[in-house]
Amino acid sequence: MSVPERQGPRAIDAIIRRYREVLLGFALKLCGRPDEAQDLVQDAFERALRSQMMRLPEDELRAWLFTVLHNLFIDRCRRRARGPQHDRVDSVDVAAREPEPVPAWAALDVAQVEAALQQLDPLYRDPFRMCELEGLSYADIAARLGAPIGTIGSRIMRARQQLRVILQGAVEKR
Amino acid sequence: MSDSMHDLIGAFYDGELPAAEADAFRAHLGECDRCQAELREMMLLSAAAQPLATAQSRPAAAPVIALATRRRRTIIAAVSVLAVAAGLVLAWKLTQPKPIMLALASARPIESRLSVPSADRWRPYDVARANATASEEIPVDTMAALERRHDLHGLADAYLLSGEAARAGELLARQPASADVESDAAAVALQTGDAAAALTHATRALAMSPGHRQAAWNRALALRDLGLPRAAAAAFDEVARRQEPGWSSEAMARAKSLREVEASRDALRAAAERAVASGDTSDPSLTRALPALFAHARAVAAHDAAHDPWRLLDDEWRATRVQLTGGDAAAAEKRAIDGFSRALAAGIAPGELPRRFLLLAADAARAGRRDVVADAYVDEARRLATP
Repeated sequence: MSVPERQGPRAIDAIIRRYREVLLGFALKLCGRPDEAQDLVQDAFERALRSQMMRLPEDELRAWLFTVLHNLFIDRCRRRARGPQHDRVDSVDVAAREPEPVPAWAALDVAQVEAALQQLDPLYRDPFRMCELEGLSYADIAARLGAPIGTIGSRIMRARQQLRVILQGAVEKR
Repeated sequence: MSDSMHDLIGAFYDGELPAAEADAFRAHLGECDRCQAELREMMLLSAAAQPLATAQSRPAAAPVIALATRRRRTIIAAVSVLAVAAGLVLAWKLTQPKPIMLALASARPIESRLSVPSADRWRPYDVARANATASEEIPVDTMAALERRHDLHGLADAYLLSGEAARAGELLARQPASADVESDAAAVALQTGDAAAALTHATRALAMSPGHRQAAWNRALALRDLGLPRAAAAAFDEVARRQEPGWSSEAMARAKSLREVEASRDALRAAAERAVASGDTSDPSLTRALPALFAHARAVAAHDAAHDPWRLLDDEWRATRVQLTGGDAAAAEKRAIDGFSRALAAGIAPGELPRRFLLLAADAARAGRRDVVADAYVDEARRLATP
């Protein structure tokens, strides 16, 4: 998809529709509450629309949306940690910092990510795939792999660490 | 903050922490730079991997779009202009999808969950109304809109919600097989009181899509209706762990009350077994408490001939039970399967076998066997029930 194509309102609609469900899923995992998740995702899109980020190439835009979602969520956690007197003051969000630039490894294209995934030991790759790509619970993954449930979380974290290193390497080789 | 808190980040991100721990972790996140940075990296990795997830998922998402109203399309068209003219911020607000809402009433008329997203909003279960005729009024034009759009799956769910389970079942039977369709077929079967069929459909749905939320819920209800409260409670525990608002706390409450049922059954069990042994099954309170066990006892009483297949079956069943409680599970299972095979060879109608297996499964659960064994019996019953 070329950049100018995405600038039109129709393209913006398409992007919003494509990523809304995805972001909502992540936001719900983070917040644990659908109303908060909706707010976060809405804020993330508003920020994207305001800052013209919708013009970015899609891989970069996606990483950027996730970063914004992260920042908005952390802001919420901070406010909550500071105490109830700051709760519900939505204006705090408006002043929230602009996200730092997206690292290049997070905006690699799908083929490069798949290639990186292939380099992982299946011991780590399989549970990571099931968790991250299929959305299975640790219990379901343990049952599928015939592995003790206690090992699933650490295998997934291991996969994440290794994957980051491999993706970073792929960027440096470019 | 302790190291152990940092270690929870993976489980938090993957939605594996119980609600209270997740809240504690959110509080920790607000103050911990290290965990914030780690979370950011995990989210960026998710962003990078996300196209792979989309690539390998799910034709099942189609009904969401299919359920969009004409109004929504109009709004989107209008918004496309507005987005340029009146400001992009507004665009997002107005492009929020407005699916045809099927779940409009404040309480839900059926216990099961439906796969069409607009019908799956959590609402408290309306026990009082459900006992009469379970239904909610779906506006005629909603039905018409679904029909015009040939969204037969959405229409099936609408029928189910409005108390017309049979029509819903017919529509679903004409849909191509998918986890969503199987899960909703389970809901139909639950509504018509066919728990064994409900289990079959829900299990199929989960085989197609292991994380299927509605199917996991419907499977738990089927297990409960089959007289397997322990397995049902475990299944609801699994649902509760997903932390879906509303559904999660209802699942927890259901698991808790199923465990209470289980405990009171345990207390009655000794008395019931004495009654079965003495042949006096007339105590109405026991009959009410343990219908499965007494149905079995009556079956024994009704089929007393020496080589009656029922008798053969029941002998095996009794022997198995002894072995189960005696602890030799592997031998008990093998013997049960052998016994059932012989009973089948001796001429028991295959249709009766699933029920027998289910009784055995219930008993295995009561005897403290792991639920997975009970599930194995159920699976076996299902296999036998499939021609």
